[in-house]
Amino acid sequence: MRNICFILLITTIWGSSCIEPPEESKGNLDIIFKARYETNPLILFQNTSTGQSDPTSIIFKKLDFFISDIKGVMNNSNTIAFSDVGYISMANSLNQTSSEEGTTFSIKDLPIGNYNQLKLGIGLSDNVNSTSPGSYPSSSPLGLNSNYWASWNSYILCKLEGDIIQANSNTSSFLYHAGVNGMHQQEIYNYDFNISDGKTTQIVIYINADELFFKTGAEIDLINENQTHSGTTGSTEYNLAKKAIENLANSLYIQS
Amino acid sequence: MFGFNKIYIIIAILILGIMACNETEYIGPLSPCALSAISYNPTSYTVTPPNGFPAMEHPNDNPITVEGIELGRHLFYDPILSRDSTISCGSCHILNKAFTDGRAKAIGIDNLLGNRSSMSLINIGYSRVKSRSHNFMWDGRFESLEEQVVKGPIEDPLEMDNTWEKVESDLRKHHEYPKMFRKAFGIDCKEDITRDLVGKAIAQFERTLNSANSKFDQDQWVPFVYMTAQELRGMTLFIGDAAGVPSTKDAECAHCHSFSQNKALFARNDFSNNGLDSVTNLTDFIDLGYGYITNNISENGQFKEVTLRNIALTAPYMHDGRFATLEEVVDHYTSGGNPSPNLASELTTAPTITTLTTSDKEDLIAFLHALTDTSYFNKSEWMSPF
Repeated sequence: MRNICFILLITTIWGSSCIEPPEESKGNLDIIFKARYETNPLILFQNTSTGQSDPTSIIFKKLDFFISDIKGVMNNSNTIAFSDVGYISMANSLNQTSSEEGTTFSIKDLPIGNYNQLKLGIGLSDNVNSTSPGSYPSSSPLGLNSNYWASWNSYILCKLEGDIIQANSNTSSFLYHAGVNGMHQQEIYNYDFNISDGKTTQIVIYINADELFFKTGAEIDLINENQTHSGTTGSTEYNLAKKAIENLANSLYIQS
Repeated sequence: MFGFNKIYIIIAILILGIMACNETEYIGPLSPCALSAISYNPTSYTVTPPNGFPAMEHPNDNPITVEGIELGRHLFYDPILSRDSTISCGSCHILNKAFTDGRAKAIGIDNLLGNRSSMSLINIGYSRVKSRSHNFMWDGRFESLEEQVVKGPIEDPLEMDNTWEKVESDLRKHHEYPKMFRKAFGIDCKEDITRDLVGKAIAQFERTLNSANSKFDQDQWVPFVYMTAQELRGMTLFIGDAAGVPSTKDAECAHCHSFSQNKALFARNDFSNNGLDSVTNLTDFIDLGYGYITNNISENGQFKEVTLRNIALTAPYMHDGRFATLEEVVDHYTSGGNPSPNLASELTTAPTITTLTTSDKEDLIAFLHALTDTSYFNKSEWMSPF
């Protein structure tokens, strides 16, 4: 009898060894970025009235930026790292429909639960910015030469480009590329959301494009300071790039 | 106490249990095909990245082997792929022209003129962005090198004008190719030779066509020895204010033809409108290029930004070969380009590009020549085996 019991025990152990342990419950998060100018969806390559005396109109052509250190804070105060880095391009915002759809950044397999904060970096930390595309596969936004500025040894953290039409009817271009250390912006949104098992939660973040250049107290002179590639720390170019990425970070609003 | 028999029973149960956890492998019916008699022991091959280059990426379902590369080289240079067996891939991709053909537009079968210029294959394996659907050709119509072979020149009436059915049939009847496919891919039967395997083999060969032994490269390894003062001045103009401080003169080249540490491609593998044509509306481009493929109007008139490595070997220039010389190319860019709604911002916000003098342009062109690597010209493994 003791022998039979022993064999049964071994058989039971063997049987249970074939059963995979239950998977931990996970959910997904879609962060949807939507650009708007005041209350209207922002459409690239389309003339938009600024409401300013000069320039009178603006045409956005590129609105791209890195996001990084994306985290969620749970109600129990645990901070969960969602994703290290992503690249948001609004290049598809070419008509009303696509602009309203926005650009989605998807994060898979997150711990389920109730969260009350979303943390989002704009740009890259100096630590990540000290790496270069050769260290990453081409499937990563960090692996692309198009997102990197070799001679500055920096990624291009944000790209704001377009044209303006001045009061005197002249058209000129603008280009603000932040691409050196010291530009990383950290945004914290107090926002309740839930990640549920097997489901995808959506969070919409608006980019208020009118605040990029025309917000009171943070204006950028699109006519006389129409471009920057960032420059050396403390230079005029650097300060302009810093202002551009600060304005970008400050223009992001979570949809409540 | 257990006897030995009982221990054997327990061990047998455990073994049966372990076996029960594995799925049974289906090995298929025994093949009557003769190729099975030929040994299949492919030799794994790792593409050695040139100095300053990252590891070569390749699709998971097409690992590179010595036998695959060799088969690909044969297929690349074999006119068997064309309808009347007159032209091969190598007809339009000539080794000492950095695998271009020296023509403004490619010449296909029956001397038919193609729509666009043959693109260089130098470092072509590095042209793929893994997460993007559009990578190869001037308009980015193909995701991978494999797809380019299968869906590109073979059935194009202006190129090889063949059918895959005929190509597959000819290869199956060939006295050598079935054996080579067996050695490269382990096929059992001649009928297993398919267009997909042709694509894989040629892609493997193309991923070996890497070159980075120019004066520029040598100067990177041992600084300030190999490049002349003029070439160095040209490099400064090429990089412009990206060198660290705002420069008084900037040719703005490095924005698109970018290079970074360990990824010195002189290309960012992107698409842009570099101001070749003047249009008022985005729909006015005669050749929509990338926009036609992506169906994205803002990308109309955009074309692949090519690597500048070996650029001096690839004249004439642009997708339609409109510029015969590098001098003409530089003159174009220093004019600021023709206006259009999606003209590359690198040109619309280039304050000093139009101020470059004749001397500056000569320096710039000298630097472009310093990106030439001719050390591979005698590389037998890249040459035609026929």
